[in-house]
Amino acid sequence: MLKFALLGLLAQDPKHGYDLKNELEQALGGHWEINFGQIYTTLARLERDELVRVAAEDRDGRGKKTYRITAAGRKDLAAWFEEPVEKPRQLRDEFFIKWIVGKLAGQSDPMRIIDRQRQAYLTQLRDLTALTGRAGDPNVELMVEGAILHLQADLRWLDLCEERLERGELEKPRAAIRKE
Amino acid sequence: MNMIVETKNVTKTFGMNGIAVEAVRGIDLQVREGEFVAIVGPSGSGKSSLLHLIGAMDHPTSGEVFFRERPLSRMNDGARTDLRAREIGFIFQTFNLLPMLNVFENVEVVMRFGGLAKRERIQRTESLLKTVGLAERMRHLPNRLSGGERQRVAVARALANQPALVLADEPTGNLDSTTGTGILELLREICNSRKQTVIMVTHDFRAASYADRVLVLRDGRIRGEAGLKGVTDTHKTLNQLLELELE
Repeated sequence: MLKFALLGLLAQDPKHGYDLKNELEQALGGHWEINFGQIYTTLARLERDELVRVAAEDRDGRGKKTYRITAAGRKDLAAWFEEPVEKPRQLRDEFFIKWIVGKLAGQSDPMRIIDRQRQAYLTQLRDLTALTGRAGDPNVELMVEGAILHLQADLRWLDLCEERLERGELEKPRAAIRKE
Repeated sequence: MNMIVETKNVTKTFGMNGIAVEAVRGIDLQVREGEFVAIVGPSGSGKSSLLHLIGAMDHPTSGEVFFRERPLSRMNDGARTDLRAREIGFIFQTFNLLPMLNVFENVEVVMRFGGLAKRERIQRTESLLKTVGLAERMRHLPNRLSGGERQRVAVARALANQPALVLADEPTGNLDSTTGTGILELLREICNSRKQTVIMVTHDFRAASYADRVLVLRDGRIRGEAGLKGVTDTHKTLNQLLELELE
């Protein structure tokens, strides 16, 4: 994601790595300090892929490098804006795996897994709710609200897991979609 | 810590068109003094019925409810009314203010049966309305107030007799999320600084997350329990969130 954030900032005008870091931090409400190393690794990768290039005059010097977006970089960025995000959120995958593996291993009490997870989600929800109206930046507020909605859905899903478990519905195999 | 509320295998069955509906199916609950407990569940899970039993507003079909170790079933109607008036404060989803009384009077009126001198009643009412941020609106009638303001009057009223226990039934149900947050912070504050106990029922996990402990209710039974520990570090929370988003 950092790749496109940097391309987007460079689409306006050429910038130093330091400017990129500052502008991005500012756009995110000034709450997050982005690791310099992360910015430079990403810039190096973008340069290798010819999506950005270093301005000619800076190439030999030891001074700061100015990065410029290339035509290919603009094309990549435009394509990214055109595409909806296809990949579903994966933040909760580990819970699902824990659920399945716990069942296979026969070592874990699924109710206990749910209880613990619920506790963790509720604590996260409390922490996020404390942020609403206080994140400072309206766009960051939106992100917080989004995370809250996701957590509420996660909590409802835990209820569903529990309900199905109690009714013994998880033991019956069902007709499944099979690979042709 | 002492228990303020305890229920032992409490049940409630309603008759509806000749069909018995079990709203509460055997609940054992213990709430300590000064705790903020949220009971969360979908509609029809029995949470309001349970709250009515705890608040001595209704009698259980079987089982027992204790208030500070006193069994409610042994109290006569007079004693129950007294308990509700002096030791329990109620907050409802629909505010339930008296429309012909202004903000000040809505709070003050509930102190009139407590044998408090007029001067003290006035002082306490003003102080409570200041606490809930309505010092400037004391002479307004409820219909001139927003939903959030009405609920804040209701919170002040619930606290008027300095009850040990505050019961809240979907207190944010009719409010937008920002206004609701204000009410929840107020309830949190009641617990933290006044050491009063709060039991809130809600269908909203977000509201529930303000509590010290969350009980999940479904089909009239407690299905899960979660204690919320630690203190929020907002800076850290935001950091983690941004890091995930930008990964």
